[in-house]
Amino acid sequence: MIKLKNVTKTYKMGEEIIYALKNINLNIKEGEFVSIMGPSGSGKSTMLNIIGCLDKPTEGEVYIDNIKTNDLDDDGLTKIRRDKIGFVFQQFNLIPILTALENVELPLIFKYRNSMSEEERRKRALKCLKMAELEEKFANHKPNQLSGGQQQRVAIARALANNPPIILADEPTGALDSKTGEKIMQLLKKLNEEGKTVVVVTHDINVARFGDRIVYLKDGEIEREEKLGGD
Amino acid sequence: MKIDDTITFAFKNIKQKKTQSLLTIVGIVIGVLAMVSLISLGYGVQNYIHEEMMKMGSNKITILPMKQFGVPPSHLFTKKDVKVVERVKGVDAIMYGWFGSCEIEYNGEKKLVSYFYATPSKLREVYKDSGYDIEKGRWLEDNDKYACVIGYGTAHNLFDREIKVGDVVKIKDKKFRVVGILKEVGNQQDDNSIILNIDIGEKLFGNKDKYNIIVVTVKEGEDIDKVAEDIKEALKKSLGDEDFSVLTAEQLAERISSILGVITIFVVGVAAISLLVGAIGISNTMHMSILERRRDIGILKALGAETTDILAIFVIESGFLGLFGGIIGLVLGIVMAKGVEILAHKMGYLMVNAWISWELIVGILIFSFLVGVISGYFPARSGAKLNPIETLRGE
Repeated sequence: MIKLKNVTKTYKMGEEIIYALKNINLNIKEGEFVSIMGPSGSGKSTMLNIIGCLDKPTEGEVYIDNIKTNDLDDDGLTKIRRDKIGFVFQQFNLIPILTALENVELPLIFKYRNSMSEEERRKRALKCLKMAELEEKFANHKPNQLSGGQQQRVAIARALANNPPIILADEPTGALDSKTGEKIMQLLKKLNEEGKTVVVVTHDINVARFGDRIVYLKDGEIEREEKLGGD
Repeated sequence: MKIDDTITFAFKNIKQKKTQSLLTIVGIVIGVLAMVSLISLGYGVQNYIHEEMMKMGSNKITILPMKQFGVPPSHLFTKKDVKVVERVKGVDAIMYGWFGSCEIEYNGEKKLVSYFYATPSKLREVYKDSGYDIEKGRWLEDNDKYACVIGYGTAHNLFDREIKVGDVVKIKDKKFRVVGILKEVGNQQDDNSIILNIDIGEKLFGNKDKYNIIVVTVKEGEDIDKVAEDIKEALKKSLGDEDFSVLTAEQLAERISSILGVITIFVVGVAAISLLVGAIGISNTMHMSILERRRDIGILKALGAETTDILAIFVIESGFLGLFGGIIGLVLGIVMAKGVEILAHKMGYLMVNAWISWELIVGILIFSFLVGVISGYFPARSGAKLNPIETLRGE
């Protein structure tokens, strides 16, 4: 489902070249739940951005659902993000002026434009909120009227809107207390069990343990991988 | 993104930051207000003058001893020139005389008025159906000596005490009996006037056999432009130069309109500068707003919004800011122009009119929307091009 082949990412800082990622090879299968761990500055966010088509590698190849993304232009990358990937961020990143439901409708608007009726869009968005286990009575609340956990559920519902095969989560519990965080991780686990490929970036081992596999990053390189037991 | 979704989104953004939006559009409001009221009044005055000119007589030709308005005449007309004009084929009635301004005294007060003298019978013949009607009293007769007809303004507005038929006014210490008062014409020059018999006028102002205006009417069925052309030729031959103007009512109206047009354009241009400042205000607000919403832009992009979607959101937002400003400015501008009109009419300036038309309203609204769109475009483009990770990371 996701394949990184010899991926290197460098930044220029004045004369100096900084390696954010060095020769990364990673293969994530369909339906897998992979956690990427590492201290800050280890390159884990860069990696997530590259998988999420928000950033391009300096060298190497990236395949998302068998599509080589290196050659795509901005609009091509936008379409991959829209159709293949659902993003969940640490700070939820909901649009503050829109209600929960409207936030979930956004990806549908970008994808279907005129071809989806408003009722259909609402129905789909409500279904996603249900999948993210947010009570329907919160659908018309603005983000600032919701708790952190509820906001993150809205964000997850939004990530599900276009029914993408992949969910990318960047520190999804980072802004939540541990109890709420655990519930959110359980939700992601459930979605994974329903067939989504999930990639979580975290520095919290308790979060990482929800995955089938943990990839440890250090100084832009894969230090080691750990397969977790269970299922 | 659907266009109506984009509009909804833009509206929500505007509503979200009411104060900021309001302050932004104040600039546009002032600019549009100034432009609307000035255009409205400028064209109102032009239209009024044009109409009045046409009412004065489409069959009249005015001959003035100077090439252009505002240039002092190099020579004046004499009886000889009048004869030359009179002989031109197609000329019906002819009137010649002098107009200028002088002080008149009444009841111990002295006021400046415009005076005109001509042969009363000739004056009446030329202006018989031109709206110069007597309100009270009678017209001058050729054998009247120290008698005068005064304009509506002179009689009713100029002096503390109204002048009535039979009263006496003084010009250069000579007494004149008022025999008639004209009906209101609507402009100060014509209303604050006094009309004298030519013999007395020549003596009083010392311009014997000198005239600074000749007006003729054209016989029915004659081509007025052809007659005007013939008069020009005849006078050119007789005077030996071209330092005079032969104007039909239409040409006269056009000349005045074109002068007023230049003034209008100039004044509106000044108003446009304030609109430009308003546009810069919108541009600045959009710039700030995009900086504030960098993160939103990043999110939208991560969710699959294309660059054009982002551009559309911000451009439509700024377009609506412009349009709102335009609507408010338009309403205030019309109110202001109407107010000036009402005030001016009360003061006797009937020529000041507010010209309001659909073209003006629609034109101004489209214009203000475009001002918004254009001033929002460049900040929006820079916002739309932002790299999503940078905007998402910039916490």
